[in-house]
Order: sequence, then structure tokens, then C-alpha cells
Amino acid sequence: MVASSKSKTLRIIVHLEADAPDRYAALQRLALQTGLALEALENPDSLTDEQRALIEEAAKRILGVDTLEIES
Amino acid sequence: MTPSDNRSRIDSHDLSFLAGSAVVFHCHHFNVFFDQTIDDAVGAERGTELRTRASHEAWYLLLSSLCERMAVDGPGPRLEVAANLFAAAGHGRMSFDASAAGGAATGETLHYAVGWRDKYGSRLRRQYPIDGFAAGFAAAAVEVAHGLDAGSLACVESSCLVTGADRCAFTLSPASAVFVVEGRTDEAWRAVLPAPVTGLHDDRVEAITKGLVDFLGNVAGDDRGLVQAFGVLVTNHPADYYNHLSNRMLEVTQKEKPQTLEVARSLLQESGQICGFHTFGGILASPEWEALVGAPSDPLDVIIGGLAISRALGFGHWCLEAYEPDQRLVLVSSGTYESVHNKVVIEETRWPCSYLFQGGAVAMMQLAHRVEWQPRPAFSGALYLKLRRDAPWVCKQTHCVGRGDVHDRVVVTRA
Repeated sequence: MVASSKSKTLRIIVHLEADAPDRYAALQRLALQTGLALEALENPDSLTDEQRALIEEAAKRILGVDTLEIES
Repeated sequence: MTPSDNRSRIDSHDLSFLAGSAVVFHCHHFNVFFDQTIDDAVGAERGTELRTRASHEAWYLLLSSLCERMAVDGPGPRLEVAANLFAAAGHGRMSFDASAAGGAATGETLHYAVGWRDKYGSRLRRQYPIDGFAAGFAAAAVEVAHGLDAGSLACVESSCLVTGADRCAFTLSPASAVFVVEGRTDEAWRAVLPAPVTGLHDDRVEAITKGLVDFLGNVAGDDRGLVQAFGVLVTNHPADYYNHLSNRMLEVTQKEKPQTLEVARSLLQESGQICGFHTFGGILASPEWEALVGAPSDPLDVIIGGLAISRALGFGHWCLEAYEPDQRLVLVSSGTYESVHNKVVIEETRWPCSYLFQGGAVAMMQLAHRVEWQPRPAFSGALYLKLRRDAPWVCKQTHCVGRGDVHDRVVVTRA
């Protein structure tokens, strides 16, 4: 369960860096919205479930979608 | 007397003023990204409040001074002056149905809404209104028209072009949050200006700047109240809008999520880089530039052109201190619209604050060394992404007037 959650977070970040508008700034925008340091985003294994949820919500806002189209 | 009669420049420092308020030209790519950074840092709701408030303060200072200087009295004439100025400056057309007790305002083709749709509309669905800038303007315009204190009215955008409405609608209502406007006029700016600096190739830069300033003096909004030129939508903004916003956003970020403070500052720099890419690039590649100066034929032409453009747009007296082609660029300026503002208002900032100077300098190296100028290039989002990925540069601001230094100075090197 935890491993699945970690890999989902990684896929969200990869998705964001590939598809976000201004994707050169995607990781920085994610950091600023969530309040998580860039180092933390670069190491998703260290994140808590609460932080992963923040990332998912921020990614939806950046992409302007209600659900993220990533493989489960 | 017209609003234009109340324009002035400090030529030695390349700062521009309207009725005593510093004003700068910017493009929609910069404006939309800059506002987005504010919202990223503090959230949509608070970001909208901050943006509205910053605009409200900036416009209140400018409009109250302008109406006084023009000796315009009475709500109707004052609102007309305000709405015409807003459209002439490229912000779109606004109309009012409001009294001292509040009312409504309507925006047609507002700069931020049209700009956001141009930049992101084909890819993104926005979930909240974008025109905090117009909301702040509307509140200030009605207050000044009726001789009210700043903050007597609140203005909220109730529907917006970017969320699917056919126009932007605003509601004005009484507020009890009368506030002190934080901005300062040109007299205060002049009092803290450092001695002018000079740089390499200054004669050439200055000659181009003069031509550009004359050209920009004739730029005005079209029937929509928009200025479409050089491949971008251009505005003439009160500089206080940007300065209040970046300062207040960083203050919140430092207090509430200090671990992302440097990220916030780097995104402000990114805004400057985006501005340099789209606006400097668009102008340098334009037929107007070709007629005025001639198309750039080598990297130094691009650097010199970028310096002249920055001066003409009111960013500050950017000068070339050193340049090693494709390796290093060092610029100095006797203040920028960001650093002088902070020197006046804050006295001493905690960190170097000329984000546009930083990002603009990086963009100049990108444009000089990574863009093919023949045939004429298109300054698209795809090209910006390619340049960001293929040709990374870093910029360090070593000196800042806002921190008490005698000038601003930035150094761009390869990453």
C-alpha cells in the first residue's frame, strides 16, 4: 500500500513535468503550492501520506483538471 | 490637459512616471506568470485578495494625483478619465454603474483575461476569476471619483471570461478597511536615487533608447482597450502593483513556508526571463525594429538592443559592464523599478530584489546565443521551453540599491 502510494507520487511528478504548462517551472510551482522543499519532491520516498495528498491536489490545480490521468 | 501631459521620465535612470507614480511597460506573458506565482505561493483566494489590494493601492495613488493635476472634478468626469486611461494603457475597457455606496462594473476584453486565454486557454481550464488587477482598479476609480478614502469600497470579480462568462463582472460594496496607500511618488524616488552609472557601448544604447521612447509614446490601446504589438499584449502598469505584490508574497512565504522562499524568488526571476524572451525577442524581431535599428546581425546587437529596450520600457538604466560572448554577461544599473521602490518604501530589503533585471539578463544571453535571427523567429512557448532545457544559464544579483548598495549588478554565467 505504501509502496503503491510512493510510486503514484512519482508518476504524478513525472506527468506534471511532461504535461504541465510552463513545465520548465512545474517542480518549482509544485513546491511553492505545497510548501514542500524541492529536495523533498526530488525524493518522494521520504514523503508522508499527507504530503503526497498535497502534491496530488496541487498537480490537479496546475494542470486544471479534476482527476489526474495517470496509470494506477 | 490630458493624462499624457502628466507623464515624465528621469532620463539618467530610465524610470518613467505618470502623475508621479512609476509606470512600466510589460507583456501578458510576464503579467500572467507573475500573478500565477503569487497565487502559487499564497493560494487562489488569498492571491486574489493580494492582487486586488496591490492594484487598488497603486491605482488610488495614481488616479487621485492625476485627477488633481488635471483639475477634473465630479464623479462622472473622473470615472471617464480613469476608464479612458485604463484602456489607453492596454488593460481593456471597463464601464461603471456605481455610486459612493457601491454598485457594479463591467470589463470587456480585459488584459489579464485575454492574455491568460492566449497563453493557456487552449490547454487549461481555469477555475477562478483572474482579474484582481481590474477589481483593484475599479475600487480605486470609484473611490477617487467620489472623493472617498482608499479602502472605503471593496470590489470582487463575480464572473470572468476565463471561467466561461462572456464578459467580466465586478461588484463594488462598502468596506470598513480604510487603509494607508504604501506607494510613493517620484519626489520620494528622486530623493534616494544613486548616482547614474555608465557602461560599454552606451552611445549606441542611448541613441536606440531615444528612438524607442518616442515610438512608445505613441502606443495606445485599440478599440478593445488592448495594445497588441510585437507578438504580445502590452500594458503600461503602475510599478507599485508588481512591487507591492512581490514584497507581500515573499513576506507571507518567509513566514509560513520558509523552505520554499528561494523557490518563490526564483519564480519571480523566471517571470523576468519570460518577459525578456517574449518582449525583448518580439521587439528585436519586429519590422518596427528593423526600420528603427536594423535586424540583429550578431550577438552584441542583441545585447545592446536588450539594454535599450529595457531602458525605454522604464525598467531602469541597464548598462553593460562586461560581456564574454556565450560565457558571461555582467550588467549594472543605477537602480531598477523594483530596487528603488524598496529603497523608498522598505529602506533596506533582506535580499536582492531586482528580479526582472536578473531574469532579463538571462534572457538576453539566450536571445544572443541560442536564437537564429534569420529568418525572423517566432517567440513561442515551445522555443522558450527548448532554450530553458538546452541552454541553462544562472544569474546572481551581487548588488542591489534596495539593500543599500550604490547600484544594482547582475552576473550571468553558464550553469
